[in-house]
Amino acid sequence: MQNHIAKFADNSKVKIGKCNRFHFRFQMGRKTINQGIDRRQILIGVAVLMGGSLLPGSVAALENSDAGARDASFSVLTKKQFRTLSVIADIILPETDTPGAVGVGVPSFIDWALDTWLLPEETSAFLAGLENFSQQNARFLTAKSAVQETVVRSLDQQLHDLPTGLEFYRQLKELVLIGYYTSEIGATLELAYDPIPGGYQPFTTENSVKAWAT
Amino acid sequence: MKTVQKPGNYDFDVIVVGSGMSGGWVAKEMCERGYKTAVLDRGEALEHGADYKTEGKGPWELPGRGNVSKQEALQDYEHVRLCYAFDEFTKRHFIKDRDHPFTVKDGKRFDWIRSSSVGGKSLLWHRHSYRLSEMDFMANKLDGHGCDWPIRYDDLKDWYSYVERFAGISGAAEGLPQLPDSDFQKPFEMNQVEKDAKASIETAFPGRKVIMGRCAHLTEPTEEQLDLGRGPCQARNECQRGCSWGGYFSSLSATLPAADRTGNMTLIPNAQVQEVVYDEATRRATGVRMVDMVSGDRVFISARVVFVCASTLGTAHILLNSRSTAFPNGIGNTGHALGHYLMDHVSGAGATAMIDGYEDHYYSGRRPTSLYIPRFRNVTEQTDKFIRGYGFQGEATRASWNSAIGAKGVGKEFKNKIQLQGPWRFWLTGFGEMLPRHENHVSLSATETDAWGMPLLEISCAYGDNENRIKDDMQQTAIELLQAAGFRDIQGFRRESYPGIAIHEMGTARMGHSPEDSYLNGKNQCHLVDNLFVTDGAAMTSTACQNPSLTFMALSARAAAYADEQLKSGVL
Repeated sequence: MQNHIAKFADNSKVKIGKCNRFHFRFQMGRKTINQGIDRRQILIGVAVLMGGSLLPGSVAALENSDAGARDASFSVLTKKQFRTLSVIADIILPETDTPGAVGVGVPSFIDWALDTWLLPEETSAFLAGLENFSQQNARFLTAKSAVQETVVRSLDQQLHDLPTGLEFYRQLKELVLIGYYTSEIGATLELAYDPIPGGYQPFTTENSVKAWAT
Repeated sequence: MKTVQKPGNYDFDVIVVGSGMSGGWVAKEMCERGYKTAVLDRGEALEHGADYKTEGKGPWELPGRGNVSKQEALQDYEHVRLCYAFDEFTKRHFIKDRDHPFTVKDGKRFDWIRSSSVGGKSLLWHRHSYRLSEMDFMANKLDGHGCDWPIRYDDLKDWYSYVERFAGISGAAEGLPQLPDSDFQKPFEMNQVEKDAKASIETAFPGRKVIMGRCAHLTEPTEEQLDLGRGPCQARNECQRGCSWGGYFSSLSATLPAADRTGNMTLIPNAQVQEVVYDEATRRATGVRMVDMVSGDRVFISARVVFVCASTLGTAHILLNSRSTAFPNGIGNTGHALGHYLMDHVSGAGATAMIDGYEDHYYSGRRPTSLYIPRFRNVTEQTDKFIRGYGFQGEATRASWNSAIGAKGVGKEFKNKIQLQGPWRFWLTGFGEMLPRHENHVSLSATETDAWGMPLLEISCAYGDNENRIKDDMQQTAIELLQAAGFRDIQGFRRESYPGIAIHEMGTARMGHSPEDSYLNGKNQCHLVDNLFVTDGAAMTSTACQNPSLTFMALSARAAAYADEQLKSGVL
């Protein structure tokens, strides 16, 4: 576990900003922008990822232990809800050469959004939709990952075909995307991020280029 | 007969109410001419640089990733939440509407967007900077809407140059009569999609020009600007959080530091000025009454000259509340103009499109300005649908992750697709002129006051037929322009919007030839009170269709120079 954390933190340090270039070029130096990676947040993200590596296949072992319990670290979600959202989030944005949704803490972001960002009626509707989903897919958490993915892909297809009546999934997918690409890993490793571009420069390239996060 | 008192009898030579775009300029000009100047601002103190708490931060460094709680926005920021620049990063720089209420009447709505700090909206502005032209100063006289401007382009031309050289305006000379060139620093670049769109549109419509937006960003800072601690724009486009480098012009980055280094400025934040005090015997303003919004202390401050630059509606609010036996309805008020002829630009209509190709083109940096299409309606192309006209802002960008919201897909292929630069897209949105109309006005509530005892401002303002026809045309023409550019999936839009949200509010103390039609003369001096000046948006006799801040700056510098002459010659 320690090795994993160290490896991850090292990977996360790359390509952060151009502060030195800026200071070299302009010698202003009056303002130092804190571009340093927030190590604590990375460790949290990694810790979640460690849990996340159990998902989705091995989650069955945990399934019946505390279904209705509320984790002290969540504001709104129960442990079971958190796990369900974690599985769906990681199917929407899975681990590739960068962490997936769970690996960057998207479920915690969703918990924050339900508690603080969304209107109370939106949160109520979301939780009701989540409850409805769990009832319709009673064995979702214990199902094989291929089955879980089929369920989510079906939802995504339905949302595309008939955008009404799937508010829970629409909202969830939006929160997963926002939570992922505004995270430090999502913005700076998965996408390209430059806090101080130094100017606007159109260019041509024959290679695929990462999109700017901001 | 004027009775000139000795300067020693006053607390200050000059009082400037408001430290935004206009007040900052008056403060600089008067301090540099040696006048002891008090600058009073309703906002909290904000130290340039040190107090820009969210500057340079990534979204992950804020609890809401940039998002303001929707409940909080609805409860505390009823109007401000509608501003394009309002988010978790910039929230602190906007006023909390709930703590500073105003009312609307006659069933109309006004979205008044206000700042919370010293520097006012100069911290929050969109920085597009354009001169008005001779056509704009002649418009009221020629079509009879609104009173005639008492000045013409030639009166302001050199003052435009003066403020541009100090503020720093990037742009390109185009030689267009309806949009005179400024004294420019080099323009930002167009990307290839924009260059090709420009060529296609200008070929299809020879009377229309697509130019790079002119904006108050330093691209070639001068010694004077560097001496003030400013540096070149870094293309972060996070301006409203505050910019420590002073890459864009604000009072905090430019005019207030210039005023401060003279040693002549006393800056008083948290100062709600409630009235300008009038002395009937001398027929002069003697000073202002203010409330310290933190301590609640009420203070009278005297000065030889008073400039009210409290933002268009803030200025009208104070002047209407400056009641005396001689002026029971507000200092200098003849009943014809003060509080009336409120205007804003008409906005919220345009079009968007997607663009095939250009896969091998991208850009680095977040350009802090966009393209501009100067007014062509009733300039190079006449229409009988409406009088006056509008301009467009717009740009081509490549989609990024947020365009995946609402898109179909899950899994690795979905994620890998989002990772790469998305398709090109284009948007155009118009800003149109609003005619001055007497019925669009503000008044004081007879029954309600704010927490500091100031009567609430009541606003009654609505767009009229001419503005609505302009808005229709902005949508249709934007579609036509994007078609000419050869784009696909063109979608026009025409959002319901109310005055205020263009954040170009103007009028309510307009300039004119006589007290019978206006509040101010051609020097921004109150017709009936010689030592009272107004140089902010309230002074505007018409709106033109250009972003107006540059004109506020030029009027402010010009009026300050005039006040200086009058003070030196003993008239004031």
